[in-house]
Amino acid sequence: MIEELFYIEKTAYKNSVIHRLDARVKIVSMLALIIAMVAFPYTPAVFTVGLIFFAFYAILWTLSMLPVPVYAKRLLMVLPFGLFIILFQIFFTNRYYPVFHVIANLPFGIHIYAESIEFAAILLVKFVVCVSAIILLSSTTKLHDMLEGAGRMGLPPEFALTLGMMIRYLFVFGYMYRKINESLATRCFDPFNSALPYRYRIKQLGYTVGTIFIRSYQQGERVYTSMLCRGYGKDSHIFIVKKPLRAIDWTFLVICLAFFITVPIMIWLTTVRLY
Amino acid sequence: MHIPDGFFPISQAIVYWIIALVFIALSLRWAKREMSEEKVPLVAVLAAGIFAIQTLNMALPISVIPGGVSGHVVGAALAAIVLGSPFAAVFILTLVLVLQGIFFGDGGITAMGANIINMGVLGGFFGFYTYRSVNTVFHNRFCAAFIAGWISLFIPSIVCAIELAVAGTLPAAFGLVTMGVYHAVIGIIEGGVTAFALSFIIHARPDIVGCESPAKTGKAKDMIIVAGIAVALAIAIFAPYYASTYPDGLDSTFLSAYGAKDANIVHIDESKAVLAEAAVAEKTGNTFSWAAPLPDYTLPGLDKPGEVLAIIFGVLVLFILGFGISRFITRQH
Repeated sequence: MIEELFYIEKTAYKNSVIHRLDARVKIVSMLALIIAMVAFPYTPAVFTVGLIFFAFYAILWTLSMLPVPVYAKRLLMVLPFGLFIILFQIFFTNRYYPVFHVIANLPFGIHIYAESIEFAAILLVKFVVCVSAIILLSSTTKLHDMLEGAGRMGLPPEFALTLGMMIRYLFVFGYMYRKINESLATRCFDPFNSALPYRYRIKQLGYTVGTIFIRSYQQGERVYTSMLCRGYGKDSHIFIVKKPLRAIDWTFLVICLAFFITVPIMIWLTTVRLY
Repeated sequence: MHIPDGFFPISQAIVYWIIALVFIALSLRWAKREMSEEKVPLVAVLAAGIFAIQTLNMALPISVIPGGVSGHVVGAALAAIVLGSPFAAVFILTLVLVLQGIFFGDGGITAMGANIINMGVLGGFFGFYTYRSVNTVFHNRFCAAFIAGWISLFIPSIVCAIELAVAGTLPAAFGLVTMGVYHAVIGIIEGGVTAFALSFIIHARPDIVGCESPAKTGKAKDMIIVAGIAVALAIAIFAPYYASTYPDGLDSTFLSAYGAKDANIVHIDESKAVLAEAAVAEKTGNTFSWAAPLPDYTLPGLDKPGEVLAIIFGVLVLFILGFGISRFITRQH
């Protein structure tokens, strides 16, 4: 996953209306989108809400001037576990429907139910919309801006400092990871090579993990010592300058919040359905 | 095992978040007290290292598609063992999961509480105490680290399946079997890597390893922990198969008093039993009832295995609660 770090951060350094928005605005609106989507009950009305949200999202993505393959690539990266749960839904009944209708009989007494397919689709819509929100947030906001934004919104200083330190050194370990991989490759070591005994591969991987652990610990010690030299103490915190929101930030925030709150409520209360 | 958003109803997600926040607060207190507040950046840098470690993929030992399915290390047990506290794992895994969730979208935002509980809290606590107890009793560091690594992955996967079953988004039987088997296999990587990495770290930097004082806590105490966990799990596995389906003493007296059962014969007249409950409700005016999450010690959709898993789940929850309360009481003194 660390390989994608550089790629994602590169997209975050581009320039567009969405990129220029304050990090706080983007964090709050994307959180609102996720919470609205998660809080919506497991009913077919999710499709309507999901589609409207996704259309709105598509506008935001277009405004961010990022190519669609960036989105697709990142979506594919996080799909496996969620997709595993979603795909197997169709073979099982669940508590959200009173009656289930079998639409296909498979060998070994396995059935596919119409309601379960619907439920799987509901989960898929919720999952994709929520993940998309995170993809937009991280593709258009630099990690450090996100941290500062969270700090301005009241993230406890202890966490802001530790997360800040972690983010800073992630890139160092990203390079270290690359170098270690290259040096393993130059020695013709491949953890997926089944010609090598399994115990040997695990041992090498274990030693590599041990090496990274010690190197990161020693890096931590050096960082700590150099921070002490610069006057670091227990009351030191990350310095975050106050930054008022601009008119465009306020506008975006109000539009997003109003949209993400009113759409689900309106659809829940009325009979407007796409499905 | 990173649960995404949308798989928990919001109410359950909030409950997991609250539990996770308690442990995050405790881990922060650990970082301030044990590591001393100034050393917090050291753990933060280490968290970045753990993040890199999680990227190293490895082929599964048993795989249907040769070389196709891969697994990686979570590192909760390793962090807890080396830094000498389960809270180290909670602290580090929280940082890693926050970053994975917010930046990569791996693991949801609302589901993050559950992910922190599974991988950080359960992984860290089970990894740490298994290592310490097994090492003290059997004096084999390598085996202890292997078992600790394996358990630190297997238990969270089981709890993850139970959480999804409670949410109604993954059937209990299917979830427990697939998650359990998959992680039992991946656990071999976690266990093996934890063991080799630990032996490497002990040789290279013995000064930083915190969990190397088996004599400090006393062998007897650790023996009790190992035996306790083993006995509790054995009872949990075998009890449902031997348990009597007859009513217990209190049930029996109640049913006899209302004529639903003869005092000396075990047959129960179900219709009279329902009438008896209604009569009591009418007499006392108390109609309160509560839908238990695991009614009659079973998991919905499962027969005997459901009872076994419900009891294992109960034992684990009680174990953690008991540990928390005892720590709290000893702190008071």
